Amino acid sequence: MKKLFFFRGFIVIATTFIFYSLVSFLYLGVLPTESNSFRNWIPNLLNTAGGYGYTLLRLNEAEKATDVDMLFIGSSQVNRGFDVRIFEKNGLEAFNLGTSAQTLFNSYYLLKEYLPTLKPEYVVLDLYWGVAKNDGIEPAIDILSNSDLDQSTLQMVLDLENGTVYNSLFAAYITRLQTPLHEIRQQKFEEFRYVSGGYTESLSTQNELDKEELADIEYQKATIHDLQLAYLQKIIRLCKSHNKKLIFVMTPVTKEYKRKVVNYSSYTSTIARIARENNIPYFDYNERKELSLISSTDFSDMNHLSQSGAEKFDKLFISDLKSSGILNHSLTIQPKQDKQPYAPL
Amino acid sequence: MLFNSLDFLVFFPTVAALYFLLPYRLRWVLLLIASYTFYMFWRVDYAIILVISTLIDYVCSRMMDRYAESERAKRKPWLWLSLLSNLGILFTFKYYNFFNEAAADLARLLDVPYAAPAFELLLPMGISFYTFQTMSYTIDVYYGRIKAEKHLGIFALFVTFFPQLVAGPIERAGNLLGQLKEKHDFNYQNAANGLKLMAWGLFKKIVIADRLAVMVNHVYNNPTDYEGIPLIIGTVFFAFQIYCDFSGYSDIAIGAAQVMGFRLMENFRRPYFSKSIREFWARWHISLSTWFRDYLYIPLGGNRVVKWRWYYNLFIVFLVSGIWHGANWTFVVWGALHGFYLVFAELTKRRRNAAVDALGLAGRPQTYKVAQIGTTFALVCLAWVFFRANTIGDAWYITTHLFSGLAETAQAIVTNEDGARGNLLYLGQSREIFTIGLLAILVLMLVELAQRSGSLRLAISSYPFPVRVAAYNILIASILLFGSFSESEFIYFQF
Repeated sequence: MKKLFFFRGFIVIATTFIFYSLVSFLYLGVLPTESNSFRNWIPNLLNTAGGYGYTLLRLNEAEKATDVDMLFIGSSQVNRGFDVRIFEKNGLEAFNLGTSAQTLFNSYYLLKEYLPTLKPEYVVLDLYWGVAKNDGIEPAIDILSNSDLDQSTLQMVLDLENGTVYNSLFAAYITRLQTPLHEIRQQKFEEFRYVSGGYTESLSTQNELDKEELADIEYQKATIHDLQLAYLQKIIRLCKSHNKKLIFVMTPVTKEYKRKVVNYSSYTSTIARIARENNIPYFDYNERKELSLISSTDFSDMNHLSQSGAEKFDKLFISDLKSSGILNHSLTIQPKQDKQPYAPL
Repeated sequence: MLFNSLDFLVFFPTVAALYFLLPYRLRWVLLLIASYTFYMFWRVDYAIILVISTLIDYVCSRMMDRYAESERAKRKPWLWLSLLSNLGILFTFKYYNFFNEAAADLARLLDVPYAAPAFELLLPMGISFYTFQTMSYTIDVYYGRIKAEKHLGIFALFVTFFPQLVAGPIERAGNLLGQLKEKHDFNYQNAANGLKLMAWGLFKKIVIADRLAVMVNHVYNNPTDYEGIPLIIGTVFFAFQIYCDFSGYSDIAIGAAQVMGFRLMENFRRPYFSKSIREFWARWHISLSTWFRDYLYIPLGGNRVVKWRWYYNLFIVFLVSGIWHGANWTFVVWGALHGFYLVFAELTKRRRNAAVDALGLAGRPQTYKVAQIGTTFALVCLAWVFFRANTIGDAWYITTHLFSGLAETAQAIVTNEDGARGNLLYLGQSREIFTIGLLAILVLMLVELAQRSGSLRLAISSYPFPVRVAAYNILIASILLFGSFSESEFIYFQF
């Protein structure tokens, strides 16, 4: 009886795997890739390779980059807020590893992978509350779809313990059987441009945000997911173990958006406390009046900086780093060669 | 631990395998440890409540057993001690703040000083379920229906048996306690049927309930943004969400127990095919309905009293059932509404029968049946509005706007101006996700229709092995490919 049960159980598991693989292969490998409508019918076989947010270009470039002074990491607030060209002009070789909706959980695995090769002196970590409450599933799919499926990525997937991410990992393998990662083309987006070094330049015209849109922002509570809090501690330990100077920042959002966060002061106090306990500098740019950002022109939407906003913000950040004595070594401007994105646009 | 978590995917096969590998005398120890581990995955410290509840009921039932059945007066203090302890724990954790706020509101209204403190207590998972299970045990011991269990370990296992600990079925000692002492050898049919039921339960939870939940939340978290069609779709989707969520849990619980040779009671019997509210309650959450019948409705006098008192009994039972579901006025109204349905049905029975005759429906039984099922489903959905709404105000808004603006919302959906279709028809999701939700409901209904003529699991068993394997392949692959894997708790965990 038991033998028959286990034998038949094995048959069911094995044939299910074959059936599942076949469906996945037909869905991802045979259906026309041009037609996005086909791509949405199986919600768990997600593959965002070459998609929104330029993660493909960013991670491909990060694979090749070495020896930077400053590494920015976090969500889209980071890749649309820290313009590496401005830092370069100020003598700082920088790389921006911000990816869409990236949580601290995802940041940890990216840092684990890229700290040894990028060798930054400073790691600038954004702590935007909008992603701190998340579980990190969506950005994990974005990262695994756009990067080599190496040990660090696999570890991230395993640690998430989520069926959709496991399915998407399988989807990534299946997709790459047909098209290797280096042959995947990055999609173009009218409103953003990828800048070598990981920055996403916002091309949206100014005055896009009207009063009605800003008035419609809903009240929200800033919270940190337990998992993210645990991974914040892991990031702190990781940076210490690599002897990297960690800096916490809160990239600015529109004042209207920030006003709708009912517990902003308690959230930022929590971050400040963690920073204090670990002797980490913390800059909250939502609390800085001298930044004087204008919602309608310095933001491309309610919580992302436009190019003009990023320029103002980056200049103040660099000035803060200098005035607070964090940048205490002499850095010479290294003329960079004209960088080309890794994959053709 | 959640049934739909990867932890359970490791936990359950391990426990089941060890159960059959261990000698019979050690199996209760394994199941007890497994049950506490299962619970403590959620919160370690709250397991103390389980221990306290177990010890009180064990001692009280043993003390009651010392007196003969005729010496009820001597048994009574121990029954009261047990009931007050259980209800006291339940009240403290679940109802204190609710009644405290109600008292404060009343005091404000009467301009009377009132200052009882509020407590921030986390509701222990499954407290209403295991409290009711142990209460039925002590009541049964009191009335001499069963003997008190002498083995503390077995009794502790009866209270905490992990498949049904946090969301039922609320078992009776007469059914489960004896089974916990029986020797269960490995049985191919039990294991295979149990696993099939677990897979179907997972499908209901992950593919149907959790997929629909996102769309339901879209509407119910901001109901005043909508009127007409989206409110109707959101409410109908919630009806299927809660059914699949809860019956899915029950299926997994019953299936998991069956793998190890235990028979738990049936908890749902195709409730949305009911032809009346009375029948609905005979098919929905059967373990709770029968609990209320046996331990509240019948002690109140049931229907063996004068008519007004019978109506009162019916209404009270459903009002209490509403409060059992949650410490919120929305649940109170939900329970009262069902009580009203039942009383109203009794009051209007003759007139309704006359109307059926006048309409000629009596001669068209199929049409009549469809009309009955449709009406019952609509009434149940109307009550679900109160169950799901975040506040009474929201529920009132939804019920009063279900049928307003129908033409406008229909037109907006047809013209799809400014992408209105996505918001009003697909409830914030893509067309594909909405369609998957609809197809999943269709699959559910087809399976339940097929189940009318007998167990589908038995029917599948009669097909050749390759056909069965293909069916299992499709079911498991559907869960993997179409399931929603955000670790959402089962709705009934909060009760």
